[in-house]
Amino acid sequence: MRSVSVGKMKFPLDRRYYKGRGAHVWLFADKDGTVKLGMDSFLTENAGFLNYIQLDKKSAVRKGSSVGSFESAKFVSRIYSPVSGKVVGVNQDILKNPRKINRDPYKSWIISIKPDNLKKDMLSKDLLGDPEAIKDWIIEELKKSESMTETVDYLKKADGGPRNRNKCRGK
Amino acid sequence: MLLIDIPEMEWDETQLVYHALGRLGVEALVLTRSRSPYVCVGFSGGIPSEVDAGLCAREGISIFRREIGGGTVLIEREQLLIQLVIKRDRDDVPAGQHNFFKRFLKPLVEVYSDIGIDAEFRPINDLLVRGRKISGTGGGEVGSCNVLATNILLDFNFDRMASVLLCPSENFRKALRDGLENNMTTVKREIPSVPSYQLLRKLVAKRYEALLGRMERSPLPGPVKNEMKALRKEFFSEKWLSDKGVRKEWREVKLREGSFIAQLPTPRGELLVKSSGGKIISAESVEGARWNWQSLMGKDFDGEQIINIVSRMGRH
Repeated sequence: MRSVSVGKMKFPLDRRYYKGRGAHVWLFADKDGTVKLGMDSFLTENAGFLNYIQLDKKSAVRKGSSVGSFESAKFVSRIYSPVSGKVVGVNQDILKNPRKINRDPYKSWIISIKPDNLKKDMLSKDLLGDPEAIKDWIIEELKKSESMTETVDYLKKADGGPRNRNKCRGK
Repeated sequence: MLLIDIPEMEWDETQLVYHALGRLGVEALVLTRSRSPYVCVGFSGGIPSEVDAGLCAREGISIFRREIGGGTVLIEREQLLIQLVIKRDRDDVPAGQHNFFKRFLKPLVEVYSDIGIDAEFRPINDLLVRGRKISGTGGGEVGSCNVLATNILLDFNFDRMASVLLCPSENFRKALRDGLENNMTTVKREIPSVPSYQLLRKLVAKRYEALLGRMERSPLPGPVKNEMKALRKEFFSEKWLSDKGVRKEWREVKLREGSFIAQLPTPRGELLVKSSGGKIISAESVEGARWNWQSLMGKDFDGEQIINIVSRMGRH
């Protein structure tokens, strides 16, 4: 399967990546018109072991709204949907064993949605499918991190020297 | 960003305040302490499986379940509560939990240094003094903000903490009590003279302002008070309080990163296990049976793995 790599993180190109609201959710469009959502490897690398996932008990979701929450390393984050639609499936195995997401983020779907208008939602600039756009986004995310090792290593490999990485610092 | 410095609040207000601020998107550093003791369960904790609600009711100890992470904690008057509510999309809010905790716990490390305590940040989110935890931490997304809730333990009632948690056996409770004492410390234990709350609040404000810029001193704003009132319905609903949280076949309590007390059901009876640094350091049968558990020593602490290993040992 074709994928784009940033350091040791991989992003398969058979799906899209949602960056809206700081999410790191992947969207895979099934042939039956539904989409499956899961978490990308940037999230699983940075979040640590996922200990708990709880999905909101909603039958319908709006684009950009939360579909649930997960806890890792004493921090609770939300899972945001890149599409509007009806919830048609939940992966109960993953809810019982969220650490499977750490082991294989791209085989571990969490929720399945029948979108109201997938064509329209796919046009969003927050839903990335282009390899260069994905790469640029992840590098920007790395630059926001305190630990710059991944970025520096990656950038050194890419063009032989570190770029300005002090863009984002506290006031 | 507001600096909301309130010497004392009602127990439930000390939790509702940052939930309200986060949901309203109001950035603030809250400094306060609770008028009365209560047990605070994290998002994934599950009150029914964590807390002895009957004992709490008899002793007048209230219970709250928060929307952010972290374990079950006993909040008492002898703790300075520090809550940072900050917009998630700011350039200076790093991506990743570890990075978030590291950046925003740094001022607290500096405060400890100011009062003569050599604390260090240990990933993912522990503040330790000579290997013992001196602050509790939890975090999460609330509305458009990230919240960091932490504290300074001036003193701590280890007996009370061990009594409010649900324990599957008295062996477990005893191990828990000892584990808490051996893995935690307090300001009172570390320095001969405990600083006043007023001084501590001043130091905390100074260190966080050095990181985040000057803050506007403010009482609790009216809209925040209204939101806190409105949130009571949600946070005291049967649905919210009865959530069972993470369900495991065994009971475990995390003392700090890598250190656990656990009681597991195995074919050889209930097994009490202690771990340190993520490895098993002690294993004994709860009912007093004389099994040899030596082969478990040094293994990774993982409840499922332990049950599998013991299942393969059989009953002989």
